[in-house]
Amino acid sequence: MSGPRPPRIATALLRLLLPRSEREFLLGDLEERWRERIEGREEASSGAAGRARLWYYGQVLRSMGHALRLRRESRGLALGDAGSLKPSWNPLRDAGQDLHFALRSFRARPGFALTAVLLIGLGIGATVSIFSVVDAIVLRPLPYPDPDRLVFFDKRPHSFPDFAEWRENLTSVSAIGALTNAEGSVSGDQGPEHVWITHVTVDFLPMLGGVPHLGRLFNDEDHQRGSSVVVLGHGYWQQSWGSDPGVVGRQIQLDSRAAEVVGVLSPGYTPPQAVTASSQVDVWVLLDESGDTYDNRNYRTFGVVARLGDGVSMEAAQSEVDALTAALAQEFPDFFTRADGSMISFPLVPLQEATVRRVSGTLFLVLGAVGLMLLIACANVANLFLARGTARTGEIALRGALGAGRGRIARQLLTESGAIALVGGGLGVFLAYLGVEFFIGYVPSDLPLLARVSVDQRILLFALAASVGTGVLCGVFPVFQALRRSVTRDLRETTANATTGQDRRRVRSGLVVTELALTVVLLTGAGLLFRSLVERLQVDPGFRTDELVIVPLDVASAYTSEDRAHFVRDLRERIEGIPGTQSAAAGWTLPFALPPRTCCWASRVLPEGWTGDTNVPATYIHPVTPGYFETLGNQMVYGREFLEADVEADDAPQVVIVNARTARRLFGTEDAVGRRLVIGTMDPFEVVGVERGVHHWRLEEEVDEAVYLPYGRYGSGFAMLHVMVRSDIPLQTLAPRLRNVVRELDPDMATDQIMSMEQLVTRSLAGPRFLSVLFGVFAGLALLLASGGIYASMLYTVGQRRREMGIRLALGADARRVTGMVLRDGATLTVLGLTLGVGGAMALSRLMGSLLWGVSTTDALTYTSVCILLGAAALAACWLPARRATRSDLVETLKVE
Amino acid sequence: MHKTLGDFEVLILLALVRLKKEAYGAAVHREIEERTGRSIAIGAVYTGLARLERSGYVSAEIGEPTPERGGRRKKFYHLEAAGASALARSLTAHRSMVEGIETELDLMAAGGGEGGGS
Repeated sequence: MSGPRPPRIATALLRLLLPRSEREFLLGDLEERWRERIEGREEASSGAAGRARLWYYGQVLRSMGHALRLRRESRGLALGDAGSLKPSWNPLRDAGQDLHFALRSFRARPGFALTAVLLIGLGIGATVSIFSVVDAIVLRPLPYPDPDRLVFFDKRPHSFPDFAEWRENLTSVSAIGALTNAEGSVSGDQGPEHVWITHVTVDFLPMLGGVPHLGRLFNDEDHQRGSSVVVLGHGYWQQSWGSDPGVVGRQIQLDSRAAEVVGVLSPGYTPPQAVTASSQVDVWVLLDESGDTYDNRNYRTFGVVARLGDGVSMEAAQSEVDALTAALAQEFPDFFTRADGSMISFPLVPLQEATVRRVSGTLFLVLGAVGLMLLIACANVANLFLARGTARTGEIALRGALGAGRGRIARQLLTESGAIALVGGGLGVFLAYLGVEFFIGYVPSDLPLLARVSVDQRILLFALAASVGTGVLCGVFPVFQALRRSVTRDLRETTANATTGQDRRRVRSGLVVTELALTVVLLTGAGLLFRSLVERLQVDPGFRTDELVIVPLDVASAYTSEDRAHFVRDLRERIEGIPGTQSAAAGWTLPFALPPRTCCWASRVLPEGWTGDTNVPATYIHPVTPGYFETLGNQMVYGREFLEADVEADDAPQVVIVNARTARRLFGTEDAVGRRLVIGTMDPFEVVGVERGVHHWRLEEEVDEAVYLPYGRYGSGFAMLHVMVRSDIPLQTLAPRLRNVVRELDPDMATDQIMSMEQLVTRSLAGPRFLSVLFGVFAGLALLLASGGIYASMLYTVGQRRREMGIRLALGADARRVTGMVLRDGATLTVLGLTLGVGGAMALSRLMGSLLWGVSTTDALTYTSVCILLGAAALAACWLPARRATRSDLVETLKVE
Repeated sequence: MHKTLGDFEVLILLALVRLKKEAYGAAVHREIEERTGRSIAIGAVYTGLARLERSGYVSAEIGEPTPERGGRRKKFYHLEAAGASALARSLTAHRSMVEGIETELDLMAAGGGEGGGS
């Protein structure tokens, strides 16, 4: 019979509880009665349906206890008092009782409950915060339709002709798009503004689910237009255009050229961060696909993403790509085979993996660390529960004697620990909201997908699971204790004349040792990371990083190469004219100015007339102006810098500067001035200078080979330019003057990104620094928790053994010996904990090997420092209670007995 | 000495007498609710009937499924001889307690409660 059906979940619940013999009949009766309520009405009003639902729920709730009784009865057990229909087993009622009892006992000892809740709140708060991050970045699928069908052409940026081959020939992909990143400026009323630009092919945005918020996205006709066609990013449109809907259809000045805005992207769109440099794209520009760069197979700056066709596996697509590569290798052997004859390959990688692989290992490591901290907090709380359990032994025994089954008592204890854990979990969730805000604010911004980190339903579910797990973990020890003890023995003992409670103490000691061991692991991790940071900072970058100011410029594509060369020359002159500046120079890129190897020109460099093996890795080529090395503060080892004369005359000899490493490889000596070399397929160059060696990308990497060419001839073809100025004037004063100079030469050029070299170097260390701080915080908290745990445990033991110590003192024992006894116990635990911890740390630190630099995972200095630090803290935590043990009021205790 | 019936069990047995051949769970439930004006949990009817069955006061028989019940069968209950005599004993006891004070009881019912069917 079709039509409405009774509420399914409630029915299922009741069905679960009912015994098989009655199930069908009772549910049938219930449904019949329900139907009467629905169909009895002439007017099918939703009010009736709603009331019937409510009635149904009520029936289910009230019949649950009966269902359980029927179940028990059908197994042949007693039904309870004849004539009384009150069910003898109602789980809801029992749970309510347990809770009531638990709350009463907490009110009696609020200190305990508060401490436990705080500890758990802290642990869960930290864990949930980190889990939010891990979930948003690594676990959740990418924010695109069918994200598991998206693949990324891995390994290197690609050339446009390669992309065009794929677009034309691949049938296993239903869509494919290319992009390349750039920076530029948009000229508005407030002057030029720096923007992040991404150039894309026509179907790139729709392939990744982009939809227009206003206007439209790109279409094929746009290729025919005269000017560039752009789509604005939503955030940029809000900030810089004040959400003005009139911007659609308008012409804007992008890099001094006219560009027409055809639409604005919707707010939720996230650019694929496997491929885009920044997490925000301000302006999307349609690639016009005409011009030299689009024919040049050597010019590799494009990232390529594709969507697999329906039912096509990645292996199939990969085979097709490989087959295509083989065919192309026949046609263009130079581009598709390496010097040793092997074919280059284009591996396909799922976009999700490409996006997060850089950070997923680190994030999981941080999650592991925070998990350890939670365990330490749990151990502390478990200890608290055990200590409290001892105090309640008598009470629990009494309940046992009065008929409460052991299972019931265990349930009671679990309810208590569960209640504490859930309240602590609630506090933790609140702290997690704060923690996530803090995290987003301080983490280095190159973390992909950072914008979607938030505490949402999934996270709350995780927090609930963590709380329940914590509750069980903390409650399990007292529960075991309760289930094992003999009632009569407990009734005879009181707290005062209790024996030391050997097994309970052993468990508590075990917990303390565990805490110590886990703390050692965390401290070691933090220590190793910290040392890595310090080691990095001590690396000599190869130049003077102080008093150096960097001005990144985008010298618009409207300039010709010659214009640019002139512009740069004029700029240098004017800047050097500013009083207080010592020198100025420029290059296509500067050390630390860009993320490693995101741009750049690399070619094979060989000595002239080389006849040996030509299979050498490519060397990076840096176009620079005269005065580059002087401004950097880097010495030339041999020879000279570039001069204007080197580029002025058309027939001036081709000159080059190399760094020491390159010179050694090419010529076997650093004294290479006068020697000649060949770059790629160009005519030979003469070496006029050798520089010492500069770290271009990151401090922790070795100095690469490098080759420098005069900017005037070889750099002016590119829009990107970095100017550096050496001056002892502080940045705040110098920056406006530099801006003025630039504005004099070109009012449309954006200059909002001026910073000092020291800032750049610091920024390159932002990741390691943040990680170090994070681990430091966890380790510090763990140290506090562990010390607190030992302190409390020792205090408690001393309290337990008062009588014993009082006797000793009364018998004339030296107070110091009694203290010594306590300290010895504490020291034993500490040594045990440290040993286990060091072992564990050595094993686990291998997991963070990739994050360390300059320090091994078994670095003696770190391990020793950690042991000393923790040992001292632990002993201090023991010493205080030990002192209390000898106070004279102990003797009084004896008299009281 | 036979066990005495509880108040609810009496109602169930009375419903069985009223319903004769049509006494199954939902019918008993409806009958009691409509006549006494109480809201009863269906489960309570079942535990009551189960106990009565164990005491031998009623017996059960399984019937045909109907669409109103989602295709489920009904379980019909019949009063057994033992049940009939237990019910009779109960009612006799009741009656003898009521005997002689009917008027006062009527006054109480009229003034105090709102009567059945509220």
